[in-house]
Amino acid sequence: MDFPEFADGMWPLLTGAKRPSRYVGCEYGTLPEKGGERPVRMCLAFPDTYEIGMSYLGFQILYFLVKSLPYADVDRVYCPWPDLEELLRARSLPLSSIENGRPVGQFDLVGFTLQYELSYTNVLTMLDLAGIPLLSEERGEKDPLICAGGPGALTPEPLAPFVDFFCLGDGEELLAEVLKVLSETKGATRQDRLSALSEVEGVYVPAFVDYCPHPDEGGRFLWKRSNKDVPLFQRRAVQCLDSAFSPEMLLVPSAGIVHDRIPIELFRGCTRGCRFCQAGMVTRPVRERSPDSLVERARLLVDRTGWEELGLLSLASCDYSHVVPLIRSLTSALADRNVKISLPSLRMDAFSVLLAAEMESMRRGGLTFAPEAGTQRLRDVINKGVTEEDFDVCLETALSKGWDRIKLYFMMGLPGETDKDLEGIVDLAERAFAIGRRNRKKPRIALSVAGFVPKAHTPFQWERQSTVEELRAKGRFLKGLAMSRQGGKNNRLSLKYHEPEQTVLEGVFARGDRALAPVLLEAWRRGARFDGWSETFSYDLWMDAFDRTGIDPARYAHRQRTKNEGLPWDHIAAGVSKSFLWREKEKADRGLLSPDCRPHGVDQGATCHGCGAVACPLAPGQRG
Amino acid sequence: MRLRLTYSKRGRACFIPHIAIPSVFARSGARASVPFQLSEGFTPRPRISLGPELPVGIPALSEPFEAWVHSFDQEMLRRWDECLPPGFSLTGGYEVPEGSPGEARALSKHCEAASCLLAIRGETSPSPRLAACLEGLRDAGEILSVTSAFMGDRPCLRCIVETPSKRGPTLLVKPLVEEGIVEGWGDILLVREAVGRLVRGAAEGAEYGVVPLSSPKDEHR
Repeated sequence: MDFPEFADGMWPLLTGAKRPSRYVGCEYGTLPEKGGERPVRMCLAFPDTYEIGMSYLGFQILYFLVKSLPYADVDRVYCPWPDLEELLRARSLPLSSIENGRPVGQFDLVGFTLQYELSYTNVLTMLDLAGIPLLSEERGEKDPLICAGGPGALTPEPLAPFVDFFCLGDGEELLAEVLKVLSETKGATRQDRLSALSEVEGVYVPAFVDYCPHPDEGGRFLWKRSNKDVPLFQRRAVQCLDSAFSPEMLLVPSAGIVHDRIPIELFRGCTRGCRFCQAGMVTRPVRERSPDSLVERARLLVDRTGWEELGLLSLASCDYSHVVPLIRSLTSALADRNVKISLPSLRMDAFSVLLAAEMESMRRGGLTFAPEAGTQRLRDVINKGVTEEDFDVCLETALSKGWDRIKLYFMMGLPGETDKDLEGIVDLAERAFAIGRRNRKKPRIALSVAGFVPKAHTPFQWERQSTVEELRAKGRFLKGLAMSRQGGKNNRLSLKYHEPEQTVLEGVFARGDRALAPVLLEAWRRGARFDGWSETFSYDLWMDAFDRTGIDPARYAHRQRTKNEGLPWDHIAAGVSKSFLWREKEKADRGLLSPDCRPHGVDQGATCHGCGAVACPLAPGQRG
Repeated sequence: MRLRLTYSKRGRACFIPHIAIPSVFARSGARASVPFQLSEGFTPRPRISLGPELPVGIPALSEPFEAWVHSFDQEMLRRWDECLPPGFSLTGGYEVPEGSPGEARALSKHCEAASCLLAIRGETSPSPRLAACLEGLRDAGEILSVTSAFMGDRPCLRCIVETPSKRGPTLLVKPLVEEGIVEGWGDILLVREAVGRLVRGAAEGAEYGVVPLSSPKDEHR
């Protein structure tokens, strides 16, 4: 018997790599490579490990979308961990796609998704390992075009010199149009193909646009050719999820991944209006899938994938209009399948807890909620519509239904935060213990506190971020407080806070401009890899890179911006208007709430806040 | 009812770790509508138990495992095989007859020995150093036998090891690294041919052989 696997050039590398299962594919559900009329070949590139990237719903959709197009084909690649990177370099082997082993440099298009600022150096690693010049302007006619989408594409400037074009918004329609253009312009020059792509709504070609710093800081965006102001680049949004492309099969991994389950999207968008939340601002309007189509699709995917868990996903799944009947229908439709149904995000109210209590599969393990801030005052500032009454009722319900492990997520460094607000975090834990005593229960409370990162396209985009020192002091203050309460003898209370260096670096790139590109390049050259992972992150290395490029990170992260300042993402229309964001910022300053504009239960919803979301069915003139 | 099955793991699938294999069979079985019996407890899962651990990076031709189901026929086995991810194949399976005391023992008791093929990357045939090293292991009682064999056209050595649940293939590799015959796993071509019953004089010129657990014991007696 022959053993052709030993002739696989990757074999010796895989035997030497940590977690080689990351690189071998071996997934069920992949489709054969297309032959015939040469299709436009795209490689979907995820700038993090396989187990993170395979948990991302977007690539599941886009993989099957591209496979469904007669004029295009697709493969995927994930970022190799530094050990495999070293092995590839030592043997001069190029980075290759996971299914067909095609060198990434041989594709027509490589499409990155930008889910997280601290994965940007991995984009450079992947380009370099593929033998593709890092800078757009240095690429030749034989190199693939490099595009990038995802939330990071809505603040594209730090990556502008490395990316040929950005795709803004939902990929279901946009990517199909992009690939169509590439199929129709085969043989044309890069420049001509980019010109053709720039005509597609939702495509931004940064090389065509000059960014001119403005006297009062910030900048203007001008067409290079004409020196005229560019129009707004509009984010694309599919209008109806039921009629948008949605895969009838999924790729099922063989090695464990982070979210190892069928992802089913209940709706896209959120109008709760939390002022820190970028996702809620840049995915409007709310678009729900019909319960019938969800049940039908869930049943199909359970049978076809064999996955043992079904995750009901969205930004706040309990807000889905038909959530109760949906869960009942799913429970009965899947009764004989041994499939666990999970609701990954629970709102802090009795409704959500009662809902979870009805689901047999949610009854194991603990419950997690995100009050985000410790006092009512600060929760009003951030427009997190959780009241103390909600908190009490939620905890009462959870304890009475038998849960005794509760995890609570908070942020520190929120705008206008005082020591009182931080104390409020620990007070809430005490409140939970008091509720426990009243109910003769002894809950375990785990507090997890992350540093606040002001994000672009949110009402807090003008706010200063706390420094590393400030965040560390806050974290230590909280830790000390949690330890000191009840004589430090309460082993039912734990508090963890995130180390602040990564939080601040994320904050720099979250509101960055093109001047950060040389810093990114310098940090990468000095060895920055997987900056989102604490075992590989080096703050000193990054500070060296800032020093050497003469860029001050504090200017991006720790500076209060003014109303009239031009912002490096002003040319991107992400979904809500800048005037709405400023109004929300002013309301935050005064601690005023902006209730959800959706009707919830008996509550008919607030009036329209005029956020400016395109094609919103709830906006005046379009309602009902 | 209890099934005893064998599978092969080829190509890059060899890098899927042992710990992930039960879920590979559970998911593929679910796709093929295999009527699994579920485990008890808070998280009921299909009842599947694996044979001796196989480290990553080793192609295997006949690894045993067991699964508990409500019904069984060869057609179900064919469907299950079709629903496996690339690199995995079912190579045999039978229902463990109820009431036969020999068959009813735990799977590990049936895994009396394992047979491995071994060669060194870059060598056209096994070097005297390699043979001497393995023979040393045999003389020390770690390996039952070392004989000449082939991987396709490539001459190699076949090592038979008893109680594979305690003595994995790492046993063969460690001394090779220690004696400087290889630098590491990347230089070794190692295949696990079979895990199963130890037989004597099964083939001409070989004192020992290993019969996979893909069919009932009686067929081989």
